[in-house]
Amino acid sequence: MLQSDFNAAAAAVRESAGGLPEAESLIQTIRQAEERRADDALELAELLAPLLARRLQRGGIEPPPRRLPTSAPPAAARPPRPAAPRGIADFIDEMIAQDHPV
Amino acid sequence: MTTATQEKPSAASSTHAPLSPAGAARPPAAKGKLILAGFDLGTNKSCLLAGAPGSTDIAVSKVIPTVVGYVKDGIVDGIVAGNATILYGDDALRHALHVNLVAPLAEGVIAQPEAARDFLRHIRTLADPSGQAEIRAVIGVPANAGETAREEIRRCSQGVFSRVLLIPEPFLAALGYRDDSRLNQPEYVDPVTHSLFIDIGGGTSDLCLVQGYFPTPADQISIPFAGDAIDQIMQNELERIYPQNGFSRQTVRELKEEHAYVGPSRKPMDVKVIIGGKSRTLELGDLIGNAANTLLDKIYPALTSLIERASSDSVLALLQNIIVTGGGSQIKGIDTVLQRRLADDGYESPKVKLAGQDFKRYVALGALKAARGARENQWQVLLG
Repeated sequence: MLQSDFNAAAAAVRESAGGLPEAESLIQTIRQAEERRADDALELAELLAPLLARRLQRGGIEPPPRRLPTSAPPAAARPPRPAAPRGIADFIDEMIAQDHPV
Repeated sequence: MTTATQEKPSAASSTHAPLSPAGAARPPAAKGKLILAGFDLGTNKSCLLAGAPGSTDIAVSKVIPTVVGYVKDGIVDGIVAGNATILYGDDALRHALHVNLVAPLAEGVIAQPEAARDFLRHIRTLADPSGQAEIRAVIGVPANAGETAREEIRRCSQGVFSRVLLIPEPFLAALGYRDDSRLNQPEYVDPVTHSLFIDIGGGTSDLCLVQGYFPTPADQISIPFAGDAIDQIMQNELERIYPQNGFSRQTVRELKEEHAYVGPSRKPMDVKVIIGGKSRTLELGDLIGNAANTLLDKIYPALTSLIERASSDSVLALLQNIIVTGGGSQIKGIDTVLQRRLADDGYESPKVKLAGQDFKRYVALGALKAARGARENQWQVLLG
């Protein structure tokens, strides 16, 4: 969360709480917890960055999967054509699925 | 109903008696030998193939006329072997004078449940003469068979088979027709991936697109017009032209099986028959041709309708692999006439083939393959 967003949220909480000390204490606790999480994330990134760089240099990491286009065609009425020859049990599965549609 | 699908109970099934939870039913002789059966329950002829699981061997292979003969009262001892009270298949037909013949099926579905139950019990004894084994059967049903028809088969199978799977016949025919040893050959067109099956039986003609997935209802058309309907047309015409001819339905069927053809008239076609104990020669060219062409006129629109529904990815390949099977595949010229009609109508290089001599067994063979490939949780348990 950006610092400005956090300050705005904290101000709103103080206003709605009417200056209660419990509210201020809770805000401080949350701020400290978030600062610790951010510090941990930074340390982890510093540790992982060199490893990641070495792997990328070796070509050991596959590119992330391509996302399906959001305008994917609607599912066909027929089952998709299988890429490989299929076993008889697969056909029977299809038959059972037709007999007992979900 | 009295079946349980181990996979999951269905809403449709719940309209019948409650289903047993998975594994709750104890099949008969569960601890004994297990036999897998592929069974083509046809209107006129049935085929049973059976064997052990985990093998490709076929221990039992039978084609049996689907008919039960209940021996009439007052038949002299010794006329019927073992003084049996019920005869089946060829035995029943041989003793047609001494029994009341009952056809358990009509138009592909069970019409006489008691006779169907008796017939299935007989099938069981063929698969397992010891009577001790557990038998699981994959049974072929007409394409688009409704739940009522399927339920009747399950009901009649109770106490006969411990578990069943009902699978549409044209798909089983494709599975049976598939030459598994050639699947790795690049030039081999796998009928399970690209084909259009036309299975012409006694009661129904079933057409099915097979495109590498289990056919949906839209991929299948079942027409209640097949061999029996041709027999009926022929019998009506014979009666009109030659009154009091005395031909039985069986005689008419034999005439059809020997002479039926489609396409242009093959007149004159002189056929020797016996009428009133005397030999006569009748010219039946138009009579037989007209009856068989009626079947063609029913099938062709269904065929083109299915081709138009085929995926654009597979339509060219399946046009090369239109396969006619069942008893109707023996009608002379059915492959060439269908192929010519398709070509004349502009379809791209169609090839219509006949399934060949083993046409009576492909559905059962596919059923046995399915039985051997089915997972344990795919069988439907029949509660005794």
